[in-house]
Amino acid sequence: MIKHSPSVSRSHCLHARKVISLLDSPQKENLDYLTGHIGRCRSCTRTLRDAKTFLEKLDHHIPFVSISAESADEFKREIAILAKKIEVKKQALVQRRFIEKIKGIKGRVLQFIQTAMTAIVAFLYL
Amino acid sequence: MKVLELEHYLEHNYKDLFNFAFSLLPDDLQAQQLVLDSVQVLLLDDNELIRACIEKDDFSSSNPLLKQVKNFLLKSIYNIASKRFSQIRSSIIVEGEHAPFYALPFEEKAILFLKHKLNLNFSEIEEVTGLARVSVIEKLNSARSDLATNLGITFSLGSISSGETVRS
Repeated sequence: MIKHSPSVSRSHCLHARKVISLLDSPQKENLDYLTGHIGRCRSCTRTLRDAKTFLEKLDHHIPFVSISAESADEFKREIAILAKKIEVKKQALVQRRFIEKIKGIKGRVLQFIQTAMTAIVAFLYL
Repeated sequence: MKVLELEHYLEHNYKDLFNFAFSLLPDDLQAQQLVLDSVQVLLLDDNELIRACIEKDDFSSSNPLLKQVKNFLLKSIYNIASKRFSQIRSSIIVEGEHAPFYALPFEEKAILFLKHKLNLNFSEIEEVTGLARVSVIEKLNSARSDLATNLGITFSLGSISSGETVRS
C-alpha cells in the first residue's frame, strides 16, 4: 500500500501513480505540475522525480546515428531518379489532358456539323 | 522545375528516414537499403499521393502533401523492415550503449523512435504502423517501461516498501 501524507488527497497520489506507471502519456509539463502539486507526499515526489529524470533522458537511449557521405550520395542519386520519373509522369499527364481536350473539341465540332447537315437536308427536303 | 523542391525535401529528410530504418535494423547497409526500397515503393506503386503532387504542381515546403510523402516512406520502411526483421532476427546482435533499446520488441522500437525522435503525433504513428490508437498508446507505454527495465531503472511507486530506485 502507498503511504500518503495526510495533507495530500489520495486522488492526487493515484494520479501520480498513473503517470509514473507510464500507463498515461506523460508530458514533461504535467510531471512538473504534479511534482509541485503533490510535493508534500514524500514517496510520490521521489518517484515523480525519478520518472521525470528518466523521461528527460529517454531521448539519449534511442539511437540517432550520423550518416556517411557515401550513403547520402547514393540516396541523392536515387532521389534524382525519382524526380525524373515524376517529371516524366507530369509531362505524360499534360499530354493526355491536351489530347482529351482536342478530342472534346473535335467531338463538339463533329456534332455541330452533323446537326447543321441534318438541318440543311431537312430544309432542302421541305 | 518544382519537382526539384520535392527532391530537396527528401534529401533533407534522409537523416530521419535512415535513422528510423537503423532503429529497426541496426546495420548501415540494411538501413540504407530499406530507405531506397521505400523510395522504390513510392515509384512502383502508382499511388494517389504522387498523382496528387503532380496535379497540384506544388512542391513548396508548406504543401501538406510533402509531409504525407514522408509518412508514406516511413510506413514503407516499417512494413519492409518488419518482414526482414523476422528473417534476420537471429543474426542481429547489438552491444553497447543502445543495446537496451534494440532489445525491445519490433513495434515498441518503432513507436518509441517515431514519438521521441521524430516527434510524430498519435495519428501519424497510427498511419505509419497501421496500428489502432489504443495499441499505439499501449505499446508506447510498454516501450518506455521495458526500456527502463532494460536499463536497470525501477520506479519506487507500487513497491515503495521494498523497491529500490535507480536513476538513469
